[in-house]
Amino acid sequence: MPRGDLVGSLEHIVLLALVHLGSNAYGMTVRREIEQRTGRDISIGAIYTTLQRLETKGYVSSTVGEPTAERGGRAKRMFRLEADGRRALRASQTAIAQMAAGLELSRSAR
Amino acid sequence: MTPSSKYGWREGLLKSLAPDCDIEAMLGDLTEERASRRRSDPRSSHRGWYFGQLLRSLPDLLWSAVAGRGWASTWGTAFLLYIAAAALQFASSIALSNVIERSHWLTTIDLLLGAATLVLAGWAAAWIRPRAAPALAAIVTTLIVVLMATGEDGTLAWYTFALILGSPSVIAGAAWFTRGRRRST
Repeated sequence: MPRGDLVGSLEHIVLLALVHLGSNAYGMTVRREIEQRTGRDISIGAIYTTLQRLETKGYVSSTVGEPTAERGGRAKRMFRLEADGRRALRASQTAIAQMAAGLELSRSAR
Repeated sequence: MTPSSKYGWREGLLKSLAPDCDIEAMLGDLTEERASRRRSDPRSSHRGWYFGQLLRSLPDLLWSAVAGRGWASTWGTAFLLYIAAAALQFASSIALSNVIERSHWLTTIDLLLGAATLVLAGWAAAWIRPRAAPALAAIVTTLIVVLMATGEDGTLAWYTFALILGSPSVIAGAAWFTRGRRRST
């Protein structure tokens, strides 16, 4: 895998959200970041299953934080982008940019 | 601080059908976001948003639970347990019809027997392989829907409703109970 694996579209979006959020990335913030930036209301279940898949691939890692009263006594699961994840993200970004180069996708195009 | 031990049926369903996901962290996230939404709009309780999120999460978590690693043995276990439950129910129905003459009670007793065999199968699935319980619920629900759609008309509405909603629920209930017992042992 010299140039990194490509990731799926939701995986791509979630990885980008992790880059934006830095050290404050957990389920709720990832969901809200995506909603604010793209307008897509993704279920928390879809976010977690995507993060779990990315963790299995070694692209992200997670740690369990302290429980808080605001969360009903439940702990946060904090996520971090790993070097392999950054490489995969870069490879996907490059592939999309290369495929889109020279194309004009006007609003009227079908 | 300990997590809230009171779960509604929706949280309970989520916890029993999605064994490998981090449900506690997920429920914490939803609780936190709901509190944040309440602060920005105190006039609404945002219950609809919260339960909408739970229900919309269910297909993703279910799929993740049954399509993860070892999916062949998960579905194999679920299918074998379904065959065993169907055989048990068939045998008990035959035995019952020899004892009780056909009456309106027979349908109800048959339904209760079916529920009992599904509880047994759900318990066994969660015990053998936790991911097999949601797979079993999916198999049973699909078969009921297919049989109802292709079968004769005239089936009682409450019977159909009870089968479609009740079957996966009793499997989930049995799986939830089994997982709780496994954790405490």
